[in-house]
Amino acid sequence: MSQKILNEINTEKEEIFYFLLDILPSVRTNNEIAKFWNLFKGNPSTFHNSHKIPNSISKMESLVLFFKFYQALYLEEKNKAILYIENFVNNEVFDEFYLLSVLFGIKENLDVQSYFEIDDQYFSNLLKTYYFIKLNDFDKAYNILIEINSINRLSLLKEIFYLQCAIEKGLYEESENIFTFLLEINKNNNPLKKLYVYYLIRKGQILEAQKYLAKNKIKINTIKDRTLFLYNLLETKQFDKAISFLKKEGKTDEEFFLLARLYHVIGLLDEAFNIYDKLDDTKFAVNKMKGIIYFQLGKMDKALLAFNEEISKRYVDTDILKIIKFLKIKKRWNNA
Amino acid sequence: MPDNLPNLIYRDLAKNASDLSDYDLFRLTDFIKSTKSDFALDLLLISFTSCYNKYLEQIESIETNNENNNKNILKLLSLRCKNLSSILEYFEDDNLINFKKELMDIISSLISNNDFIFSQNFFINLSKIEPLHCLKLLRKNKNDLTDELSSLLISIEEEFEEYQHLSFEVEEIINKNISDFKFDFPNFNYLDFI
Repeated sequence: MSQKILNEINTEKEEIFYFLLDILPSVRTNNEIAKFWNLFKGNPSTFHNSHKIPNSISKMESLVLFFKFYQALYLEEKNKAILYIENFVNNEVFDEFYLLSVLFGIKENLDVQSYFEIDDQYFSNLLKTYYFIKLNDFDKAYNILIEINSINRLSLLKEIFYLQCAIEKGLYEESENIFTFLLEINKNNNPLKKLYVYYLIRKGQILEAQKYLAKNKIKINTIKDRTLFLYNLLETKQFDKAISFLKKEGKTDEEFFLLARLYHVIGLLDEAFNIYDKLDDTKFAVNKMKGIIYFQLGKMDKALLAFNEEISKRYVDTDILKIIKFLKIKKRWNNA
Repeated sequence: MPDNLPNLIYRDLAKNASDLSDYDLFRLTDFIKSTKSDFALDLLLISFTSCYNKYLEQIESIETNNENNNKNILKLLSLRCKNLSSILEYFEDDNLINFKKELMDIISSLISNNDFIFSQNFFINLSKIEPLHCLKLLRKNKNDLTDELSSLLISIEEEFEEYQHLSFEVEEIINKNISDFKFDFPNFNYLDFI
């Protein structure tokens, strides 16, 4: 089956499309694109500067349009990104790179629904499928995919979408079969391996996911990768490893809050407090957690102040209200 | 008596509260009510002690001499003790905390003489700052309590139960909040990992 699908990839556009989606490891027909994409992907802002667009790429107008779209998208120039999709529409180009641009638009939550309805029913259904996958409406995604089941174009992408629906609908046997097939033709595909880890977690096989991550030496790059990795560590109660990881790799406030929570749970109260103290107390329940630390240390007056701060800055939490009530009574019943 | 007296004179007046005229006692208690300070509370306790000691002396004198005249004085002193103890409600908890020991001593003395009627306001106010101490004393003397003290015992016992219940509940809440990681695992798809 894998060879049959590989044989179906018979246009340069389709091959580049897969390469850009990281589904196949290399572009056989155009190495310049591979080199360019590797540089550009890591730093989209260099598009106009140091890295000139190779001739072979500049000849492919819709590919260049995709690169421009990608650059705007990752520089968070969302309106500009939409305009590049409009360019495709104005030029009446609804090829693989149009599809790719809208897919990335959906991925980054751009308002691109109006670009789903195109004459190419197959592409239209693929876009809608991914849209519903993003919305976690897997029944709808699956039904739309079934409508184009008999069409054999961009079958690898269709398989991946089908796999996604199968994972979320709990069709594990089918998921396993598709993974076997996809991993056979994508032996070094990191995103696919990460999706496999995700699948194992969804199945509840946390230890297996942990082993798979370690065995395959999967690189952890993005926040989503880190979430995947951390979830494994936390579910298996490997708090010390999660702490080491977050100390080294933590980048977002959410991750620092998690680091503080981990310090807290293993009893390193000073370390936890220092982080809580630096975070935005309107965004995170840091006053609540600081109150708990004061409570643990027996500093009840400070605990009361911190809990009151939490409910004045964030929201009323029944747990906190109970603690506040208790602290007020405790003052009087201190010797009990 | 002039309008504003030096503190030492107020203290002397308090020490002799049992012998003051009604008018002078009114002036003294008026000062205590309007001042509501630690000094005022001190004056109140001294005044009460003065009247109560005199009250005890009168009882002893009636028992030994059986003088009817003394019974009127006893009534007057009893009324003064009740009125003075009712002024305790004018004070804040912080003042009461500073005179915790004195309040406890007075209550002990009243209980030892079976004068629960005078102890009511002391118990009510001491229970605001030392409920456990009051609970123990009231439980110990359960059979001799006035109706008001019996109600107070019930309300303190209820609060104690609530405190114990809350204590367990809060311990659970604290532990739960420390260890409960709400690390929601989101839905990911292939494109998220590119």
